[in-house]
Amino acid sequence: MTSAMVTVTEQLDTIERNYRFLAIDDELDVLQYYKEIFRPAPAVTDQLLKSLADVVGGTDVEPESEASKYQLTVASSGEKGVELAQQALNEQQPFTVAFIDMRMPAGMDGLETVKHLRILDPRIMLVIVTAYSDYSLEQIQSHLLYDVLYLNKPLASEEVIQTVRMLNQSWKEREQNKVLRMQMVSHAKMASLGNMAVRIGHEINQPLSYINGMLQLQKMELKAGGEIDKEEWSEEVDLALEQTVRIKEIIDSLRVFAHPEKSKRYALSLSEAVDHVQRLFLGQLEKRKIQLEINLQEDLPSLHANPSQVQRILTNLMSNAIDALTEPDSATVDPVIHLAANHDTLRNEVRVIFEDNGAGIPESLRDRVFEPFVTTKEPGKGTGLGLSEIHGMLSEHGATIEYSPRPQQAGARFVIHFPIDKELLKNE
Amino acid sequence: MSDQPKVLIVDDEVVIHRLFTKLLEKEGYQLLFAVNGEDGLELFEREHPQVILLDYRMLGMTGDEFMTQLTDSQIEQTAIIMVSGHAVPDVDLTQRNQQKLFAYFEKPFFEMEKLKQSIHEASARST
Repeated sequence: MTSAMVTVTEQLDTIERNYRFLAIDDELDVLQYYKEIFRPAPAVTDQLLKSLADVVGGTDVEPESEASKYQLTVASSGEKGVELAQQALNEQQPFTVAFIDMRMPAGMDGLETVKHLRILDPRIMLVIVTAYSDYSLEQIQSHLLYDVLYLNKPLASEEVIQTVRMLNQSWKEREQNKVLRMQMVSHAKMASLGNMAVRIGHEINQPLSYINGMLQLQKMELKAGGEIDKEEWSEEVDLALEQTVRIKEIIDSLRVFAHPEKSKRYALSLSEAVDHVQRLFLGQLEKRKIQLEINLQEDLPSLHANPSQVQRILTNLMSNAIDALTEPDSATVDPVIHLAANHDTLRNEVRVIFEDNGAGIPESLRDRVFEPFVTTKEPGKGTGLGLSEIHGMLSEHGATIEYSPRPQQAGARFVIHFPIDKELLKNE
Repeated sequence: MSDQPKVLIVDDEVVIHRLFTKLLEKEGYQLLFAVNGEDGLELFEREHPQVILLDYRMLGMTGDEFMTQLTDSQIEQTAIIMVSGHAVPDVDLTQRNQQKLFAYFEKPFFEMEKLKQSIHEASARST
């Protein structure tokens, strides 16, 4: 809770003020050299610089030397360095940059230290320093998954200062961007939550108005003491009960958004899921003379997914398409639903395309099509929750869906991008 | 039939149409129904109802936009009763429309008896 209380400005400030720098080397001479480069400027020098600035009339002259604003911490071994980095994280004062000597024969060498640091703190900027070619540049790079710089000994002080300055600056920019991005996301979330609250209110108000109003009318009639038409009222009671079910359905569907339950996932064959859904809809498709074309790439990798959610996604898309193709006012001639999937190896995702040749989604609704309660169906027909539910379930899987109208043709077209996680699939 | 006062119901919810039917069916009105503002305006032009029961939030036009489409003289001849769970008249309606509103009932819990009373008064006023 406390971290949420810190304002964005404070977070940005804290990042801006972070000049921490870690140097790891097993040679004390080298550590001494770092200390000299980054020695805090004595107060006298400050004074001198200040008065010098006054004399020349400069306003931008920094009162302290540039290197002295970096807060250097030294470690004489990889182990010690990792320990210090851990401590810095615990104190929420992480190092922005670390220089690591490659050759440290007594314990962890540079490469290993880098790996440990990287796992510990994915944000820290790393520089490997080496005098010997224990490893070639290629070897270093092939061992490291992350961006690591590489400097040769002996180090020139100006080279060290410049590198630290640049990396410290990029660290700050990256961290500040992250804070700003998170703020944007949470604003967007709040806005859509607000929208949703209004819509839920509306959706529940309607059936509730009916139930409440009908009960009032029945009470009035009972009070008046007249004859009660059983048949007439039992119809209304049935309808009122139906309305309570509708309210419950709305509440149920909202759970997907409110509580993304960690649903169980398995290695799932998309073509099996498609088969299943196809069988489910066979009767409806035949009756309405809708043609279903399926084009799945043969060697599609398995999805790491929750089977019932995937089935719900496909079912929702299917019933939407069928409804759109059989709209009473604008039924499509030669209705077709087309489902295709292929493996994009470059992005390592399975891409599913789902389209129909119905009327499509009107331009005015396209931006909001995944928002809850947005519907193109006749009033009283759809809850408008189908697509937003799909959207919710897919994001739970790290997948995305977009609406892209079919080029030059009428109809709706949805594209799903489902990431393939080899690591997770291996464990199935 | 045509000498009965007409009540136009503009609401995107069919169960609400049904509820108002139940409320008014024995009261001697001719009832007209629209599921959105656009259809409502069309019916208004054609039928000149004495009373409109208007929802605020509908697919497409809002109740406020619906009222804005009516000229001052049209609105003078018709009593508009807003029945909505959403709009707060002083926030969601323009000042003109606020002043032109005959009555306001808040969904979901409004007194049916009072609404009926209000409709009677409204139709008496405009005939």
